[in-house]
Amino acid sequence: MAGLFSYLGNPARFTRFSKAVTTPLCVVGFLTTAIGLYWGIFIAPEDYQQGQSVWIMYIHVPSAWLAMMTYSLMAIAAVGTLVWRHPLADAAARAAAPLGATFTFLALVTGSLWGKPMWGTWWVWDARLTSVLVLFIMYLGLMALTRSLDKTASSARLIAILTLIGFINIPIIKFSVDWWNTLHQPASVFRADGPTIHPSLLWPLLVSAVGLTLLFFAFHLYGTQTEVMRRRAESLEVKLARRARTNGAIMNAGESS
Amino acid sequence: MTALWALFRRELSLAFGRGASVGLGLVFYLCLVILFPFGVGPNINQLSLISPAIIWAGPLLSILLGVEKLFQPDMDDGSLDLYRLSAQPLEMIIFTKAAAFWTAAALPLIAVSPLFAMMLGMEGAVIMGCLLGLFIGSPALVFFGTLCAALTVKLKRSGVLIVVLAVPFLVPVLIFGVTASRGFASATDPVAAPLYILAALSIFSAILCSFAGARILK
Repeated sequence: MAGLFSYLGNPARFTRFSKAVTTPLCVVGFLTTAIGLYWGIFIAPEDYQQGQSVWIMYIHVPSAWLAMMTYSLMAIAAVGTLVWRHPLADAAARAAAPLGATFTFLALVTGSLWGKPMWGTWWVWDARLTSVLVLFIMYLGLMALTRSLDKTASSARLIAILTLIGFINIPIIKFSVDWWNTLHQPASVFRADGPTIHPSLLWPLLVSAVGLTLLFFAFHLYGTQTEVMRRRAESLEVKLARRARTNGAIMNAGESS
Repeated sequence: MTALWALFRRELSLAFGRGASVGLGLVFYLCLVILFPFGVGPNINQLSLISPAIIWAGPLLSILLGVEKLFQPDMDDGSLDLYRLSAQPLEMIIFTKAAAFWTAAALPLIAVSPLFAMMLGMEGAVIMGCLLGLFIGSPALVFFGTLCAALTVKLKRSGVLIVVLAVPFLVPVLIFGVTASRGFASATDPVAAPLYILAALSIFSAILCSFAGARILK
């Protein structure tokens, strides 16, 4: 794993790798998600209590997992920025934030749609929902800060520090259903005593989660690659402007003499 | 230590000397308190239900708006570079500046809170609870605000961004602050536990934000 990281640490090598991998990853991820959703909707039985509304689970649960995984990835990238000052770590963190915000938004919206028929309300201020909403605001704040700062190494450090401080929210989200008595149900897949979902519903859920995760990685690789290219373009522009200025200075000097 | 004390006194005299910065925060708080009865209606029973939230949200927003000017003038006149070069650790300088800001901006807000609380129909015991909670919890508001001000020091207009960045960290402070004041209102709700947690949040944020702020401004 460490070998893979140091191999891809070179931006040129990374761009070659991500160009080769993005499209297949995207196709496989899309197909896997489609299979998972088809399995969940047409093959798996309906929940004995919830009926068809259990279908929402196949989007809601993977989105919520990915919302937290994306932030964890950003925190790891933040460590990479602070410890190794690696420009790719910063590019990866920048590319991940909008994706994380999207998955958090999806989890909130699908949860709300699911809450109306099941709990009788679109929204409750319980610990799980509130902490995920806070995560959403955190993503938006990070994106706003990223967009308003310049792309220097020092602003990368600022964003990394804020990302790491905000990571405190992730364990709060994870354990909110255990620490507080919430309307949201406690963990039912990753449990010490095994999942409490029936296998007939669990398998399509896992398949669509794997599919959406693959899609996330495809988009994330593409976004990081775009970020690397944007930086190359910017540095080339600066170089071009500098050359134009020196040429202009030579011409001016020629005219005045 | 004398250097930090001098810095503390400089910050205080600047805050009160400029006059406007302390006064404006109080006026903003007053405006917020005035707006709510118009939104909710003048029914004093309804108002007293939500008054702890207003008494907490007012100082919170006022502090977040004021904190924008914590590092910006130092950045503009070059004092920030002197802080970086000074023999005092940057962490302690940030801590001192935040402490001075708390004294100059947060304390007056807390001092006028009982008056506003009475205007919103709050009972005497609940006013005491709110006051105690604000006193213990407001350092957390100031220190998280300081952190966000350090993050946005390079930006020209950072006011709204500071609010967006700070709100996620201030949600727990608000939750436990309002819980504490509710504890004073009824016999069944806990009183001591939320106050302890507020104290913990204040101490934790003081250390975290001083060190993180120094890393950011270095």
